[in-house]
Amino acid sequence: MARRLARYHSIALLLIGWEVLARSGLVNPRLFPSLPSIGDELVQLFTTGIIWPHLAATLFRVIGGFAGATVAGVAIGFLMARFAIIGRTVEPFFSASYPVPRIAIYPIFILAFGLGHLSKVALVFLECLYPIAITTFYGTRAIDPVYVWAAENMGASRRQVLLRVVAPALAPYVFNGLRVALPIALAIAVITEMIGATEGIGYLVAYAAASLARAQVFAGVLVIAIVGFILDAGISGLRDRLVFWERPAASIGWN
Amino acid sequence: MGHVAISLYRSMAGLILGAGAGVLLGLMSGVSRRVAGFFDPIISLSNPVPKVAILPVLIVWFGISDTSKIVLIAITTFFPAYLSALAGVRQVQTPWVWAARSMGARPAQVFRKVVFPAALPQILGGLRVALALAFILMFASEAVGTAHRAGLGFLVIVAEAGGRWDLMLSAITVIGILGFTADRLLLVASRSVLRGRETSRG
Repeated sequence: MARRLARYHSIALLLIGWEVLARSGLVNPRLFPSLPSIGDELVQLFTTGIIWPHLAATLFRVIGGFAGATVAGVAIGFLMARFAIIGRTVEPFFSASYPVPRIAIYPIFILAFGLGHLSKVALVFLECLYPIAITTFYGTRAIDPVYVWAAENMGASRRQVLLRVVAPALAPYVFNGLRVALPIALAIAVITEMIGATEGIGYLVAYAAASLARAQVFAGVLVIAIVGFILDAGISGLRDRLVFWERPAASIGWN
Repeated sequence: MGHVAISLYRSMAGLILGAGAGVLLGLMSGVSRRVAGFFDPIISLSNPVPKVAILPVLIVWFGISDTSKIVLIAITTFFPAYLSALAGVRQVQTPWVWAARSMGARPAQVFRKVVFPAALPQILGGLRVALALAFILMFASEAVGTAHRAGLGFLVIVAEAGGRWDLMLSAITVIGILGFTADRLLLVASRSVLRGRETSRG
């Protein structure tokens, strides 16, 4: 126990450093609120119920866009690898648009879909599509055809090959993509809400910053951090249950 | 042209500070257990959190100035740079280090001649992610609020609000071209640095 706690000494040091600085009088306490006052504000966000509609809106956008991208990304990645003609048609489009900062087309989405959910869900969908489609593509290509032949030799139907051979072989790759994509989904939802929205946690913190409600800004940021952490823990937990036979690969995404 | 220059200044300054610090600390974490023990908990706790969330905090601290944008880009690009440098050092095969040591190489030489070159492909991969991030955060931070009324993200938002869709679309196109060109330049540079090695194309 003591050793486990000792592993986190750096985080304790960071928190203590923050608190000392906040109380030292060297910095303006409005700009640098103490931890208890941020905690107070965090509790207030929940007890007054201000946070709930914003939290619900953000989660809806994250999960909606992410779920859509999972279905479409797996399908696109699989078809690209399975049928050469589709691969040749779609691949140049993917590799050319991959390094383009797609967030910049968000204003077009606002014009097309409005300030509500749809413009955010669409951008979350688009951003999540890339990692999921690409990992599925490589995963499909990495399936050893010997396994498929063996199954067919033993009389497996197409459906059985797909469900019993292809799906389990693909799952670890797909989960790598999902693990990269989910934090991106939250980041995109928050960014788009800061730029143009009427609800959502990103909107809440940007609004609080503009109206100089500083402690609320810090509390809101903390809520986003907690949501990000829970989402990541959730997808990792799901992965460990479903594809328990493969060790997770180190993934370096962005968010 | 002023918009392009100021946007490039913000994104590249943030990228150099953040990714530079990330590579440096990642390498240090890779070779030293103590450094890794200090940074690992902080990084693993903050990595799944969207770093853009602290933009309002930075705006509270630094206003909507260049500083808040550069700091945001630096913090965000730090992560892929740190993680890829650390992973790069961790996958260096220990026999190579032993071989160099037994041939009389000093620790500094081992680092320069064995560890760093072996980690380089991964570091460059992390830099590619960081570069893409720098442009994304450039747009996001400029769109949320910009001092001096300059920057491509600012231009897009103002053009949209003013109904100048032609201007908005051309500014978006310029951002796309910048992101694409920067990525291709980095790829070309990586290939020439890694010439003659087995590398996977990304």
